[in-house]
Amino acid sequence: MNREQKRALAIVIGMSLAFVLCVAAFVIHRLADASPKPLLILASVALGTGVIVSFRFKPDEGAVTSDERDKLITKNANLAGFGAVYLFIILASFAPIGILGEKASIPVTSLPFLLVGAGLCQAFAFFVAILVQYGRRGQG
Amino acid sequence: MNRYQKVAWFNLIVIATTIIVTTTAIAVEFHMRGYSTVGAFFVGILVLLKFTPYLFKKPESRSGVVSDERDDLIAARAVTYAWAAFWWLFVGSCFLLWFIIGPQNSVPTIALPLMALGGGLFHKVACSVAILAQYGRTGKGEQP
Repeated sequence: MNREQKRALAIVIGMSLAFVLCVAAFVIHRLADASPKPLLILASVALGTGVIVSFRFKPDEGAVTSDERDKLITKNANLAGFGAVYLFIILASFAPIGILGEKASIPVTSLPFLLVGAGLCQAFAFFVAILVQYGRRGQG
Repeated sequence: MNRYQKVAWFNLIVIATTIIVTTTAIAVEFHMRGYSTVGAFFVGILVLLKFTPYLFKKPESRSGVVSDERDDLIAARAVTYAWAAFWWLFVGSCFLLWFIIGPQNSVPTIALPLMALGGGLFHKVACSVAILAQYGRTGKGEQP
């Protein structure tokens, strides 16, 4: 497993854990009417830990740390990330119409959350695409 | 002019035509009736963008080379530039609405799909412009 894979794995685990905790916080808040704050803090800690751990991996030893295949994988992962962002934007654009209706309106302060969601979506798709392209086992 | 350039010009012409025709139709109907509903129909012109594989076919013969490494690099860079520009537009439009309308106000839900459509068109335009800009004005050995 090379450095990129380790970094991607750390971030994917952190983000997945944070997502699960956020969903749990939402469900608990809706059903049990309890405060979602502890779970949201845990989610932020999980995400932060994933990011910090990803920066802790040292570069691979040796003069050559990446080749054309690694560059191609990064390029394809970038494309996957951008595709995921556009899909997210389309879904997030039509969701308010489906939920609230055509005549409704949403506060303008909620728009920046769209940016945060799109950024997280891109990062998740990027790192998942890296892991998928490298595969489970090492290939040389 | 090679296939990439032809497709880029075609995209730009279709999008520009759509914007001009739709804006004119909306303005005319708004002037006559006080409201406009025809705008959505003229957006249908954008369907033409889906016909590029049929309009600009790849050479079928084995000897017909579609692209080389330089073309692939130009296309890959154009996509990267377009996505970077799209992100700037996305961030800008979200915060611009905030500053123009004010944090206390709200936007109709129908505005969000329009933002997504505008973003998609902007991405296409930026990608086409990046391709044309990288190839330059004069031919550099491209075969028709």
